[in-house]
Amino acid sequence: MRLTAAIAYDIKLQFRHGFYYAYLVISLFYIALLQFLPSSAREMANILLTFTDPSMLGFFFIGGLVLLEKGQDIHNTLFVTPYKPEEYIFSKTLSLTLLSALSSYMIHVSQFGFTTKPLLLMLGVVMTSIFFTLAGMGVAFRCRSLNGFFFLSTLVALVFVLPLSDYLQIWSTPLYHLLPTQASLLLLRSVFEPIPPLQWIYAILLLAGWSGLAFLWARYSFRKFIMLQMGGDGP
Amino acid sequence: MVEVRNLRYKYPGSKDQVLHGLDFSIPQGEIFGFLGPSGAGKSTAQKILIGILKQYEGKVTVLGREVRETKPDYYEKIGVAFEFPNFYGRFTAMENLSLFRSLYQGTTSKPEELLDRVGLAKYAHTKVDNFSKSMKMRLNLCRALLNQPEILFLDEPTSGLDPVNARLVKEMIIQMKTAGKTVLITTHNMQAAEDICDRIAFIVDGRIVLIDSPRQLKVEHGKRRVRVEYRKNEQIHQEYYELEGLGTNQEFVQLLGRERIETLHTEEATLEDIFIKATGRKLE
Ligand SMILES: Nc1ncnc2c1ncn2[C@@H]1O[C@H](COP(=O)(O)OP(=O)(O)OP(=O)(O)O)[C@@H](O)[C@H]1O
Ligand SMILES: [Mg+2]
Repeated sequence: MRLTAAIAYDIKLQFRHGFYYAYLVISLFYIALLQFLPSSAREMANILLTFTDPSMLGFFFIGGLVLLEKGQDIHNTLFVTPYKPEEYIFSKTLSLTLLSALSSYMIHVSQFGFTTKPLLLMLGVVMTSIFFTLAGMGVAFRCRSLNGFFFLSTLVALVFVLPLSDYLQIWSTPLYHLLPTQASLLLLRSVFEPIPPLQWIYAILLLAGWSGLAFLWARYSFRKFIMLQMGGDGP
Repeated sequence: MVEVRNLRYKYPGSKDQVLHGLDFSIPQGEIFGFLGPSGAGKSTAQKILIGILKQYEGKVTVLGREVRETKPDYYEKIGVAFEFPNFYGRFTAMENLSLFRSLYQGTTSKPEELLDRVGLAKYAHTKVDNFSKSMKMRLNLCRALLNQPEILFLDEPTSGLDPVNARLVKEMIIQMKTAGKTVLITTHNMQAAEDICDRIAFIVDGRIVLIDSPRQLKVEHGKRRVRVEYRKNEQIHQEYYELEGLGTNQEFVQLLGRERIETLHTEEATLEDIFIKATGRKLE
């Protein structure tokens, strides 16, 4: 099937570009960092790091990937084949999500072993990664350079990390309950503080809704900024 | 194979009309060339034909389908190579071709065979980052041929190629035609167009100003006469004679018998001359 082949080649590409090594190094760094914290702070730190892994890393790594492809003008050749934009978007998202899930799981197990029930946690990681990767992709389609991407994406990312201020008990507003980050944190925390079904259903629906929006936006950005520029006068 | 009627196009968000009503058709098995100066709209026309730009006005059918309504499966049937060959630099030639091959559902050719045809078999396992422009151009042709397309769209297929490889690519295009495929090429290169195209269309400012076979264009627009150069008293002399009734032209026949002839040529116009005459513009 085309989508599975595309995902396999995307994983291979990420491997060739050292993404797997980068994630390994970052994960090992996180694990080391967690070792130095007193056990009272370890749960909270673990949640925070597990949150940044699929969200922020996914967000910035997809930017790197898309801009790398833009730099090589690869879209000119990819989209004169039966490859559908939707398949491209799914393949990029799922391949990076796999990477996030692997590294988050590794970090979690390194701290808490196999004693926890990480089902909701991993669901949280996967859904968070899907949302942030789609959002980062939409931003990256619109940017010409890595600098432009970092500027624009930092602005976008800022909005989505705001709910951390609630988790860290700095400041809070009920509006946070509408942001996907709130749902992510809820799912990630559930591994330590079990939550009632209504809450995790709310979290899953909210993340799914935001992911749907992010997908539509990524596809729109793709049509507008990639398709229309194709076959242009090159670099 | 290709039918275009009154094709007009404007890029979204731009005021300028780029194509002002193109009309042409390409029968199966023909090599058809678009020639024209920079900015004439050749690539735009090609992007419409291959289904990238869909907001056009007029009628454009390829393989019996209105291009505006085609879906990505349209690309199962056509082959496209843009002027700039783009690949994943960290993948080898073979990995790149295998990747692209996996995107097709229909029958595809073996990458090894294609690489061999363009003289790249030795470099199958070299990373494309280490390829020269000429190697990438040939790899790009392989990529466009992977799905055994009925019709091939090539933008500047010989640009950046040395004469030997340019000839190889031209020969491959002619082989495609022999196999009954249709080829549309876009180029600045008059010589390449003259060598391989059955018909060419001159495009200037989004309009087709001339469309015919290179031979017919040259016959119609060339001067129908011969130029004779001969040497007399250590000096070169030139004479011109009308082609009409040349064999019975006494002056010409006597000249041939009397003088030491150095050269003898019909005065065909080059495509370049015809182009300049038809458009008042140079190609470059
Ligand atoms: N993406 C775009 N958006 C807006 N205008 C464009 C775009 N691409 C091309 N144009 C304009 O359309 C016109 C035709 O361009 P096109 O690339 O089709 O010319 P061309 O004949 O292929 O030229 P060249 O020989 O340089 O390749 C030009 O005036 C160009 O500036
Ligand atoms: Mg062009």
